[in-house]
Amino acid sequence: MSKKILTVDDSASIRQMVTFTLKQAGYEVVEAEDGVQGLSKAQAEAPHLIITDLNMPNMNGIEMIKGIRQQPQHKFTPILMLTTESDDSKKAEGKQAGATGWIVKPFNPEQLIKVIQKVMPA
Amino acid sequence: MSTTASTNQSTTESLTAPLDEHQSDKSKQYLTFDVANELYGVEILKVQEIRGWSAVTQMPNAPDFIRGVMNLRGSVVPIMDIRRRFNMPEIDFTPQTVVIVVNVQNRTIGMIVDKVSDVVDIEQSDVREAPDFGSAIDSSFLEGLSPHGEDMVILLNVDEMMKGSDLIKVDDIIQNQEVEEL
Amino acid sequence: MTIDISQFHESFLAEASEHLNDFESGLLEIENSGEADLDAIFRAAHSIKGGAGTFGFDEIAEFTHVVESVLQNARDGLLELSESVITELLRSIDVLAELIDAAKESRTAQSQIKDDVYQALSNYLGGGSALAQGQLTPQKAKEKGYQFYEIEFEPFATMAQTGNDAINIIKELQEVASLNVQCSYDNVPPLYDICEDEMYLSFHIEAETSASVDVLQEAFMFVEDEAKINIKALACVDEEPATGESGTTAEKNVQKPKPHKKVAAKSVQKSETSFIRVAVDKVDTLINMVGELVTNNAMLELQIKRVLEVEESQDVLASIDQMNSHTRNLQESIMAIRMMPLEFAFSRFPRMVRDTAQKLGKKIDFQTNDGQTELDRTVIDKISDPLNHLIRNAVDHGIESAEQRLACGKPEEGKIELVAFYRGGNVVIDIIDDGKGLDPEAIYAKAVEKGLVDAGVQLPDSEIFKFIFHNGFSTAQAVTDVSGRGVGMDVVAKNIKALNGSIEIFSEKGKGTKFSVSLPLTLAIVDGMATKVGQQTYIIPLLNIIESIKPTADKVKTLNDNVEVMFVRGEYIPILRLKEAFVTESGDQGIEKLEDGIAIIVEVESVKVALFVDELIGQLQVVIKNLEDNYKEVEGLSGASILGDGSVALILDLQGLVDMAQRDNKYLLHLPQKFNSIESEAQHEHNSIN
Repeated sequence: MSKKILTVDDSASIRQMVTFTLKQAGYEVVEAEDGVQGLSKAQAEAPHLIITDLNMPNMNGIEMIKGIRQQPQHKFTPILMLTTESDDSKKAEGKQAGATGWIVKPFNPEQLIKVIQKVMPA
Repeated sequence: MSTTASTNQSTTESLTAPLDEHQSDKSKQYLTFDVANELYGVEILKVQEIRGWSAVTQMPNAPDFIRGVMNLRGSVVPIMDIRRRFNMPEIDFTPQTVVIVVNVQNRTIGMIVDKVSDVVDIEQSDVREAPDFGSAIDSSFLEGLSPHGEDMVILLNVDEMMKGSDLIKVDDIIQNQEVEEL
Repeated sequence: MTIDISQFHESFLAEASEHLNDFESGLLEIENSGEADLDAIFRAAHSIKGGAGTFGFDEIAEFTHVVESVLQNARDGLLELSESVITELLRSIDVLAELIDAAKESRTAQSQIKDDVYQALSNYLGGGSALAQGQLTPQKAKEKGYQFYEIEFEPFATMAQTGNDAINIIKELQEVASLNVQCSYDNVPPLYDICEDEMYLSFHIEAETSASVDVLQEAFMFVEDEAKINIKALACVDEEPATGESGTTAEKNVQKPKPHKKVAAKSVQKSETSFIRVAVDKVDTLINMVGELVTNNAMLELQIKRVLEVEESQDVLASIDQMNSHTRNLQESIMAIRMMPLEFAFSRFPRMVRDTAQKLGKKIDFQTNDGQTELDRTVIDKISDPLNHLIRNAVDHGIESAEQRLACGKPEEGKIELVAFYRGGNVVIDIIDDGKGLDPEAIYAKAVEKGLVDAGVQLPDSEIFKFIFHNGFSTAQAVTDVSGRGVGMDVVAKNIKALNGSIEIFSEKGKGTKFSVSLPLTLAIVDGMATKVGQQTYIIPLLNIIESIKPTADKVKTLNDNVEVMFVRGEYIPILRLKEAFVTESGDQGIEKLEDGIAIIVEVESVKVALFVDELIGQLQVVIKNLEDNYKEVEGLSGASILGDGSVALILDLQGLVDMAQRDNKYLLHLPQKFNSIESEAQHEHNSIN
């Protein structure tokens, strides 16, 4: 069974690129547009891994990560945040909230897959 | 804004000597149309498009010959009723009623006519000065008359028609353009 | 798994060219000013190298590597950026430009100087240089021998709570090294104390690898703060050690922050100040297009609400809502492109005030505060002149001479303030002086003389002051107090009105004057309420609307047969029937009976009017189209807009409408609070008509 990944981003183009890349790599992908949607899809879709942007409307990524970690099924689910290189404080904040790791924007497909495999080996 | 300047200039020229300007060309194309069983013509270069009549939004406190404004691909364009402009009896609009959209002095305006007829070549040497039609049509609206087969085409001077109406205040235009140029 | 990354080549190469530009301008900056933003330059080279490696442009990556190394040494203070070094670096840019161009055109690069430059740069890199410090590309690293490492990895108890798993990290190490892993369970608590989300194991790992220590570190990237990690290089199989210190045991603590973090922070600052030049008309086109989009959205929403049942429409409306907010964001972003700080307009005034004051022998303290407001470029362009006029007038006619000021107990130095701030969707610009103020009586007398008002009509000061905006009001010399103020004031008012703005005057004789100019942020768009009168659709600017009320017979009074007023919250508000104000062919189709229609209470410059329409259609945001473009200015209308169904709606200019009604003596628009005085005033107006 292929692993399911939830990608949360308010930018449609980033979602597209992530989804495209992940599907190419054989993952099943679920999309969400903001923190609130992400939270509910994390609950409903039970993804094996979650990739999220941090700056989003409605509920930001940090809040969403905290929320997802509260869900018993996602206590140990790898959560990767998309950050910009300069965002050291955001990175720390994200880790504090329970994020597993980060992917620095801009990233290319290989980097994305590599980081995913890092926290969720096939 | 050089185009503006030249437009103003040509306007002035056509005011003083409407015929001279055209005599240099041998032949021009005109779109002809019917209004009250008369054949009129307007220079084809001034015609932007022809479209069917559809309901307009009426303009408040406008002269009666301005039926209103309509949306022409994003522009708000006034629609003039030629019959009313020439104090001709009104008729109900028919499926043949069309709006000829012309470009005058960088503006776009629609003219309601009974029906379009044809595109014809008119030798400029054939164009005669229009006689005085009396009160019905202001002769300054006319570029001239030209025989066409058995008919006679009344050539309209649309620039003049716009100006003669209080549709466009020439002073205003010039003033506005000066401001923009600054 | 393979992904065709060639689809991204083009954007990488374009990026690389940009980086190269930054690189070059950075170098030139050093030469010109001696100021070096080495981080930014290093960053540019680093990005080119990184991208080139990623996308398989090995030649570029290899060459950039040596450039980067030189820069790194310079940044770390190991190498002085002498003129000759900069020259070589500049030459390296030429080489890279050729390499990048060649890649763009898919041909082999032809650079005569490449090897030359490469050699020269390499020469600047001595022993212990950055070039040798493990920054090599993987191929290079592989050529070197194997190295033994000892890795201590002690996860903190909390590590698992971020979804990190020690076994994943070890698996990753296994991909680049052969491992010997020993697990220590010394810290595992008694069974009843074990917590499922805590980590108790620690690991001792021996790794044999050709990969650099950086590659090993990378495996621990996400857990640097969640574990104790120590990587030691043991012995070296090859003659060249990865750490550059032959034969000794080098220790590298991975918890140290990596040096390039600082670089990254710098690079962000850089990007904030990089600009592209765009022709204004391109932005205008965008603004127009997005404006149409907003209109379409608004109408789509209206139409769906009309067509679908509430339950059916919910999902659709939710999507439209989302689309609306995206469009709105898009619009704001695009509008922001054309926004300029008001500071631009303000900056020219201090000089003008100084010069004018000097000429007049006055002392003036001129203060400006732009409140960090921004306005659409088109608005800024057009507001400068009116402001200039108002300020000049304040200097010339507002502020008294020093003697006069002293005589009436004011400080010798006059004060003029130019202040801007946001209020609602508008920017308000106040021009405040502490001069002699306007004399309402003198203005009133003048207005009577000019026939603008009948003698004896009672008007509040605020209304009287408005007379100075009348054309030619100041030409007579009789009222010197006023004459100066009137010069060109009609033009000022007209210009401001043309921007859909308004101007108000507050003045107290002897104390000073405040002109308050209110401007919309943009000329392109207005939030409005669509209303129906007969077949016509009129749009009323939302900003002016106070409320909508269904008139009832007991609230409406008619004065002197021709003036209808409506009693609303203790106030009598004149009713203005749109179908009467706007005579159209089918205008008489509008609703006649007040109880059947609706009154929209609007306020414009402190005057309240109840606009009577047939019905409200709904709120929408519309793009303003000039009527003058193809037709002419129409009094009472500020423009037109195209609705989603393609029809044209007319946008009301409330000030114009009020002026019209006032001029026609149809309505009373300066209603005092008491009914009695209304009647007397109405009586007066009535008489003046007959």
